Amino acid sequence: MPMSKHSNTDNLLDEATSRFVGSNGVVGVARGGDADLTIFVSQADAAQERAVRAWARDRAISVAFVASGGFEAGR
Amino acid sequence: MNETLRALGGQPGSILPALVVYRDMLTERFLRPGARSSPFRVLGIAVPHMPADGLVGFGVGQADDGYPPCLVIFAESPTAAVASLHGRLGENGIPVIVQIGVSFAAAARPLKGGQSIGRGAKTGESGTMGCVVKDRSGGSLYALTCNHVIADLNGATKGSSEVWAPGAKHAGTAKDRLGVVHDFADIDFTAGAYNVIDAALAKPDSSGQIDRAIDQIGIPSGTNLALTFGDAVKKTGIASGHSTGKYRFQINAQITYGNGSKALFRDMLGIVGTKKDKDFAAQGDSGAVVLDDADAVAGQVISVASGIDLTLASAIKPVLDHFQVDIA
Repeated sequence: MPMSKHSNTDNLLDEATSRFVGSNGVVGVARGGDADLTIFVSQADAAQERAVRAWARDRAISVAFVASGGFEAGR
Repeated sequence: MNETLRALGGQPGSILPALVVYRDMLTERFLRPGARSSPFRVLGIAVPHMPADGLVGFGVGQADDGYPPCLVIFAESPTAAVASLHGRLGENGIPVIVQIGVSFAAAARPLKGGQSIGRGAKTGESGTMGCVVKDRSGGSLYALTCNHVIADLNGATKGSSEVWAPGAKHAGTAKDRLGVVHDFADIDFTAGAYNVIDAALAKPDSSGQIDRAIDQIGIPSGTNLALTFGDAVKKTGIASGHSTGKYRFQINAQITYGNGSKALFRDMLGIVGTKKDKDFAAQGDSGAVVLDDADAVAGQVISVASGIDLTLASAIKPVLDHFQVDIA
C-alpha cells in the first residue's frame, strides 16, 4: 500500500468520500498530495469549501483544493 | 467568408470547391510539412506557421444533416495549436468545426496492447487494448480493456456482442471484427456504491489475432502490486501514444460516463505526466495498462480528469482476480 504521512488517512479518505464526493461539485478525494487530503472540485462552491475545511480542522488534518472539469470516461 | 473565397478565386455559391482547396492546403502544411505547394503561400496569409501538435487530419463535411458544408479539423486532443488554427480560420471567414479525440488507426493484426479496440457498432465506444491476459485454469488468451470501451456500460451480451479493432471512433467497421465480449465486471451506478475496476475481456476469434506485446514498450515482465507514491510509470494508449508519468495520488472519485451516468470508484491510482505539455493520458486511452520502470503491469487506465493532467487507473490486482486471469 502507498505510504501516508498520517496513519489514519485511510479512514479519513473514506469518511471524506462518503461525506463530500458527488455533492456540491466535489468529484474526488485523494491522499498523496502536498496536503493530507486533496479535494477535487468541478465547480467552485464556497459553502462546500468551508464545510470541508471545518471538517478537516476538527480532525487536525490539512486539505488542498484542486479544480478540474471532473473525471470523465467515454465522452 | 466572401473575401476569403474571392482570394481563392471562388464564388459564394461554390463554397464546396473552396473548402476542398483549403483541406488540401492544410494537409500540405501540417501533415506533410516538407511539401511546399503553391497554395501553401496563399494559406500562409491566413494561417501563420504554428506547431502541428494534436492535428491528425483535415476534411470537408457537415456538422449535421442539412447544415452547409464546412472544413473539418480532426485532432487527437484540444491543444493550443488546434485552438489557434480553429480561431484563425474562423477569423478569416472559413466555416470550420473541430472533432477532438480522433485518431486513425490501421487494422493491425495481431493486435498489440496500446492499439485501438471498441464495441462492435457504428456508434460504439472505442478505447485501448491494455494487454493480453491468460485464463488461470484453461490458459485461454483474452484482450484486456474497459467495460465502458467494449461492454456498453453493462449492456453487452457475454459471448456474442462483437468487438472491433480498431474501434468505430478510429475508423473501424464490421470488417475489423476481432471477436466477442467474453466477460466484463459490472459497474455499479447505485448512489454511494463503490467500484474498484472498469474492466472487460474480449475473446478473439483466434488466439493469433492478439499479441502479448504492448506497442512501444514490449512484453510485460509481470505485475507490480505495490506501487508507491512517486514511482515512475508509463503507458501506451491509442489517443496519446506512449507517455511517462508518476504515481501521485490514491483517489476515490466519481466518474461521469458518456451517457451522463455517474459511478463512484475507490482506491484509484492518480497519475500525472512527467513531460512538459503532454498529459499522461487522454480520452481514448481507457483500457491501456500502466507499467512501472521494469515493465511490470501496475494498473489500468479508466478515466482522465478534464482540464488538468490527472489520469485515474485501477490497480491491476483486482482486475486480474475478478476474471481469474494473469498477464500473459
